[in-house]
Amino acid sequence: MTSQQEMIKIDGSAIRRIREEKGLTQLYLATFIGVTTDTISRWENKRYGTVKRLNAEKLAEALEVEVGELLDLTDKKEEGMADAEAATVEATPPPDDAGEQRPALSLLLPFIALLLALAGAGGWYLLRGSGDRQPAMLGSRSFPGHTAPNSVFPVVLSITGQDNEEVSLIIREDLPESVQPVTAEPGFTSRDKGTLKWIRRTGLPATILLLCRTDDDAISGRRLEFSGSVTQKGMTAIPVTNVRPYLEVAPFHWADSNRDHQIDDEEILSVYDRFSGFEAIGLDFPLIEAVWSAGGYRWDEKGGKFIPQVPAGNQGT
Amino acid sequence: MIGRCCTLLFLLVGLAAATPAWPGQAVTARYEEISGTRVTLVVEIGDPPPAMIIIEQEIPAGLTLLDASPPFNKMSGARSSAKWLLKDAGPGRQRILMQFSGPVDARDLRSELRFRVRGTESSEMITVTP
Repeated sequence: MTSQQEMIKIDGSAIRRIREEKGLTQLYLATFIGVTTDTISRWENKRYGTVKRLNAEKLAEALEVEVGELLDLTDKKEEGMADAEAATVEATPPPDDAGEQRPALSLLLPFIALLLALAGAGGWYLLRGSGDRQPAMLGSRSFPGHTAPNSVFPVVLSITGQDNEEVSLIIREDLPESVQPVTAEPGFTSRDKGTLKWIRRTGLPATILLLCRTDDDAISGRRLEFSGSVTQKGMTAIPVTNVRPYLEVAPFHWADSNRDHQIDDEEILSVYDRFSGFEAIGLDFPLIEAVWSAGGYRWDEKGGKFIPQVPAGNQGT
Repeated sequence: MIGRCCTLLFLLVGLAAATPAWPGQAVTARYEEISGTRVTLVVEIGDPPPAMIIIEQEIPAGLTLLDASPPFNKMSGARSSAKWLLKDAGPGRQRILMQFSGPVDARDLRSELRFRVRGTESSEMITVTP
């Protein structure tokens, strides 16, 4: 029977290699797992050869590999011996590692467990009746109904929960093929091909504006689907739900929601209402205003751009 | 006595005119001056202000809008109305000064303001006449 308290032997060099291959920092792993960067460093440098299975599972999740890929299979010695060896390397472990490696402490473990159980029971007793203190968190993603090839469009990630509560979040966004990230506010913490991650301590509600660009060979009519998740420390990841099912590649400006080759009053009001304050990151406000002022636009397929123009019926007046 | 009443009335009118749109009311507007060829539209913006306000001023028949401050952003195809985009305007007062090609009859003046109140997904429109 597998226990999350079970100790398993890990391969520090494999952890470092995979982390570096994925362009992740020790800080990222530490935040994801809930330990210090010193601990990650010790794991990678094999100063601690064994970790709790739970931490190994979190480590594998953070590195997006199977736990088996992180195991040290070269040494079949009893884990207790490895622990004893690790114990001689460092006399005073940091607080978050305490209890993980020291056989001497194993005698104290029942007492520590008893104390923790008593503290937990006391905490439950004090908190009972005050309601569920875990925030009910929701993540949603909104994007336009369409965008043209080789065009920048916005994606808004909204995380809501108990207002004003400070939470540590890991937000993961899997972009569809043919879509590249341009920039984001706040900027993403890491990128692995089409997967972006943010690690943030933030108040709720939290909003991320992500600007993406479709590839210039994105085929008109293609439907692009987004997915992702948000994880609060110590909680299960929840999927970020889409406000609409997909984004379609089509020769219309993303702000022209009814596809009539105009950006009318309602559409420009909607754009400014949603994205005002994000001008600095490069959303195409000047083009949107130019199209609104001109009264219309056309899609220049060869040039891969929108050209504001007066609608045919209004020319010459 | 009459003088004091007039002074009090003057102060009350002055205070009312100086009060910005009250909380919960995002935008109000009125024509402040209609004098010959000059017209001034005053827009009072509440707090929190909308991200954008679109002002559409109808051009009285037979007249042309010669100049405006701030300049208008768009003239309709038939030149029957001019539009302004007020972006990121803070709470307070904005004046739109207009100079027409001939004397303006107040009965011919009409404008519409469109905006979204922050936090709502719907637009509001108010109509302004003298």
